[in-house]
Amino acid sequence: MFNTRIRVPETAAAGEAVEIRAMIMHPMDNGFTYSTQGTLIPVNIITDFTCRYLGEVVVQVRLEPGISANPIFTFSLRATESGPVEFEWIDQNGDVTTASADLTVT
Amino acid sequence: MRALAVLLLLAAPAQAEPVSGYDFLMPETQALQDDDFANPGLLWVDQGAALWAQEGCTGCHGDATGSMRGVGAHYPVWSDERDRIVTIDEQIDYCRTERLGLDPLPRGATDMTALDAYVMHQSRGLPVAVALDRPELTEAHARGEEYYYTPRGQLDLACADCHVTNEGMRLRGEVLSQGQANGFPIYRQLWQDIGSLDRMIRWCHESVRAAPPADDDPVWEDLELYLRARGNGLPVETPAVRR
Amino acid sequence: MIDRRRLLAGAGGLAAIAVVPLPAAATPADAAAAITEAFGDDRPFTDGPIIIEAPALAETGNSVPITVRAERAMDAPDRITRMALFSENNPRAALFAVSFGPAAAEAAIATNIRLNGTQQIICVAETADGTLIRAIHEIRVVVSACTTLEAQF
Repeated sequence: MFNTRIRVPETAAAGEAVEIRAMIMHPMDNGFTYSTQGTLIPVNIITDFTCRYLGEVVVQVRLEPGISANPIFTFSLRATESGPVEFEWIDQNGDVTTASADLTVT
Repeated sequence: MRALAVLLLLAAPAQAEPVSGYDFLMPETQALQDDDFANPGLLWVDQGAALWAQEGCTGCHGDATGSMRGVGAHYPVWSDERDRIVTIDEQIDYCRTERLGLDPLPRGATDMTALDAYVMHQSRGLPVAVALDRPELTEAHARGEEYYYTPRGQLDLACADCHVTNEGMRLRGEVLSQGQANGFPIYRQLWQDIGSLDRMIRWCHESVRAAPPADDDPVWEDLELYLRARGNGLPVETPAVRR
Repeated sequence: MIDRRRLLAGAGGLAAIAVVPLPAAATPADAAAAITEAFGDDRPFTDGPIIIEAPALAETGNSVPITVRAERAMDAPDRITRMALFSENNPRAALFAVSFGPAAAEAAIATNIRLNGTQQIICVAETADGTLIRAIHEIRVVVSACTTLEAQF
């Protein structure tokens, strides 16, 4: 599990487009940098990010080493009814980091 | 050597008004620093907040948002108890080891930087106010200043050659800043990581192909005191975002 | 006193000292190959409502803020289902790919990417009815003062 920051508004009107933001602490080593000892730092990245709302996919991202460290994504979902907004990151070793927040639709 | 340094000081232009590194950034980078969600340094501020609770800092200091407000802006300070100058990192680690019985954190450890960022973040917006009100401090300040103006490394450059003499000039595509320390720990785009003032000083040494001082050299405290006092009056920006 | 000329000479010296090999950069052909791998090569590219928002001049190639956005309703039969971004000058051409699910309010996403210098980036979007839309955007990247140090310090 890596440290994450997520932003989901507490409430939204039905039908409203809601901005969602998610960030994870990760170096996204691209395999082209060297340590101070001169050894190559191997590729070490988050490969997949998914956001679901009420169990349905909002966005699903495939990350490459061209994404900056501490990847952040901003996108929007269409509010329909109250329920969880869930986030999932998977790194290249298959380790999963999750976060979630509840969105109340009025 | 000392005579040479004095000569260099005399030849240096009068100290300009301090200007934050923020003012040397392009709008997108300034916007990233100002973004209360997306500023990547806040990941470490969050980590520092978790450590603050886990490690037991709350036992003495309670809620840091109140108790630590303005504290970081005054560091480094003179400690009568320890009879030496103490930087914010050293004070945090002193609390951890002496009062909480924890193992000391190595220099530059992520947890150390996270706690540093969390404590300094509580002073965000307040002016840097490093006191130079006793001989030990003014003497250390003078030693730090001498270090700052002394050329070193294979490139034979002093800190001041970039950050005083050529401030505001371009070095390749980049505008040289004053090298102010009011935003540390900073999230540095080049590192893609957070770093304390200690890390930046090491990086600058490497850039001019110089060996940094030994870990236990007291010039570290002298230099940090000089650098922080140099920005007295600038707002604390922790966690600042820099190039 | 050190003048700017000497500082620049020093910076040039840094470049000369750097001995670590630099990764080979991709070419426009590599980017085209990556696009083919992702979307096949049997469909022509059309112009469409894809907008790439990024600074015209990026302060650092380590993190360039970028937004890709399709101005098309998500309930249209030709709504955007997938978008991918490619670099013509990075060591690896593919930057990221995003699929938009039924809960997305619009086909838009913002993130930060790495750019190995001034170059064109290419966004390819696929619609629900199978057509491909391509948009191209040039971003200039500032050459920084002391970044010839390859080691992470």
